[in-house]
Amino acid sequence: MASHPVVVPYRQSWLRRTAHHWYDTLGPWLCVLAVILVIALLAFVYLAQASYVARQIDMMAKLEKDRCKLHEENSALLLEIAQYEDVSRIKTEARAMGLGEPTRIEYVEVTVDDPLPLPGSRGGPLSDVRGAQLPAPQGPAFLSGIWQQFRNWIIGGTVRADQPSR
Amino acid sequence: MTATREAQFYRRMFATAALLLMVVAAAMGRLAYLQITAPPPPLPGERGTGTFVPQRGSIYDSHGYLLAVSATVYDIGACPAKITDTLTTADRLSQELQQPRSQILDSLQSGLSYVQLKRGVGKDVSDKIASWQLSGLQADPRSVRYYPNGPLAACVLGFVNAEGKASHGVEARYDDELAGKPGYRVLDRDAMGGLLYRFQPPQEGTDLYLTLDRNIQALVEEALAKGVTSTAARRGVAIVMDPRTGAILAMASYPTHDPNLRVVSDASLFTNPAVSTTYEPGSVFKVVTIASALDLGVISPSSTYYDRGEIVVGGRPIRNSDGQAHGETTIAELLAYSLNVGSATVSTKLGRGKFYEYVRRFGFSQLSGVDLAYETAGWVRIPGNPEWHESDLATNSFGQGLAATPLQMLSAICAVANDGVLMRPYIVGRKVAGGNVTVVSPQMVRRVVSPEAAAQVTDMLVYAVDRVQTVAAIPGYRVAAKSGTSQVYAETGGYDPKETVASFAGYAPADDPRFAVLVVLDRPQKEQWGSRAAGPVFREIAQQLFTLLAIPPDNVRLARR
Repeated sequence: MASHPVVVPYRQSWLRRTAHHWYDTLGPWLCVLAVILVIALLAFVYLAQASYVARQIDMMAKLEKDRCKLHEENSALLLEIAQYEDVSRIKTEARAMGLGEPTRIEYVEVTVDDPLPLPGSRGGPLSDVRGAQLPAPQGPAFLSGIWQQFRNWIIGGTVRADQPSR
Repeated sequence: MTATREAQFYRRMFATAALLLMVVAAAMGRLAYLQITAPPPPLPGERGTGTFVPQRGSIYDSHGYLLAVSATVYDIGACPAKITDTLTTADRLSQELQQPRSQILDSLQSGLSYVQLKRGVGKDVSDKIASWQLSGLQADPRSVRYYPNGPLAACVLGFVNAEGKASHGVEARYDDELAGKPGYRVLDRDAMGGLLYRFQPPQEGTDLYLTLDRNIQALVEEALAKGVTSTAARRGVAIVMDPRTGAILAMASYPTHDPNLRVVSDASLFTNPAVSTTYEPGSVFKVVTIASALDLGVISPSSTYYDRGEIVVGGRPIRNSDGQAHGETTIAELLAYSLNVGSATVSTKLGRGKFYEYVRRFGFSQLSGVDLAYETAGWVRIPGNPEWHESDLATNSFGQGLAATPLQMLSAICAVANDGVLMRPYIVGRKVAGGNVTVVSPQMVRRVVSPEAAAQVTDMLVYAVDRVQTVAAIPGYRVAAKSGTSQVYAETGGYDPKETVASFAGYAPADDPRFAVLVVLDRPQKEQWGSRAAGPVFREIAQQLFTLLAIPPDNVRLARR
């Protein structure tokens, strides 16, 4: 049996050349299908965009709500702290505890000996002062002097630290 | 293709197309719903047009104690038409809102579309009502301004009313910064018609830290109230400043009001008399006259004049307040005994040109630039003004015939205390916005007099306290102070012989001033003189300030140096 070669006319469209079988079979239905597919694709794109925006709106709404709630709680806490710090409240409670304003204010002058410099303490790395020892306290006389000073202050009058204790 | 297979193919294609069409139709329907029918959910704080009101900034004192804060309260309302069980709702609301049941029931049965049941309830009450999930009830949030210390520093803070409008004081002056910037939400479309969502968050208000010290403010208010009450004065003002920087440590007026309530019988109580009202300073102004003359060199500390008890300037006799002649008098005695004849002698020696030039250099008849609302500049008649008279040169020298605010007067005193340098008074020390801290630096206005002249005046004022104004003498401290008693101009014309404005100004420690205080009592009835009416108030404030600011006595402080 002789085969008849398919002759494609030169002027046929690209669609007919590539899909000529289907086009010959389906005809205009192929176009309709293509249009529907394109519309569906566009619809999905818009839907995705709108859904994304709606999700963002919901997320922002939730965050704003949380932010407002935190602001409210913060303000309430600040007010509560202010109530506790109120001058008149503190005065009332202090008086109830038996505290009172001082009738007399006394200034106590305390003279403290200058600390002795550390050996090798001219700066530089710590290794330079490794093994250096802090000066030992000046014995019982140093502590008793401090104690005498405060004892005299408690009993009455002010005593300079360098005055001989009685 | 056979006919059967072709038909089968067509059926399958048709089914596929129908399925795809259904999907497309569903998608289009959902799009239509989202874009046309369903508005975006509202965000908290959103006002109808999609804007968000930010939280107003708080106000603190210099140590961080809270002075003003915005909080959210809720207004409970109901839509009677939507309430299904009125009786039960009324029962529960009555218990929770602590209102009579009958009152609530009447509201719920009123037939109105909306009724307000209670304003300003707390979040706990609002949350409890919301948890009932009863239809027809709603809780509308509203921002209110709280001043937790009540009337403390009310004249400085000002207030924000229920509508959110700021008035007076720091609230009005810094309203823009405290209010912040509103945010917005906009739904828009791009060029392709796609949905866009633009959200600009609100910019929260700036927090302000004042130079006020709450503890100093409290003690000043207490002392001032005591002084006004004991002298039966009409009103009192007291200001404490740091002369080195111009920072206002306290500013009080009495009577005052509670900015939370704002219920007053006289609306003038809302004004801050320290900056918004003027008075004739009286003899306190002699400090300015003497400092100016010493600076110009027309007098020296050893200068003297002969006090005959009266001097005629511009055809008008000027007399001493005690009506006596004091003979040969030094400048220090002039200030100590507050002699009008002496100050008139000095001002005429200065000359009108130089005298008023110094008056302006000390900041009078100009705004001080303090960051408080409604400041007034006061007035001074100067040569060239048709109302100026030659006798004004004499009367102005002892603080009569001119008007100044208490803050202007104290700023001038602070200039003398600060080695002759005038500093700009200010009330806001730092601002905190979004984590950024802006510190307000002290501003020097100008050098008014030389340090030598300032030191000489200080010595004279210390002499005045030691010898005459002993009410201000505080053991252990050198205090420089001056009293003032000025006559009040009567509404009928002329000065009222019975009414005075009593004032007392000073600073300490004299060699290194840490604070300056001015007390002004308007029309005290029981004591008319500045030293007797305002002096005790000054003393009480100064004494407590030494303790509060931990300023040791002069012998201890100077021994350290």
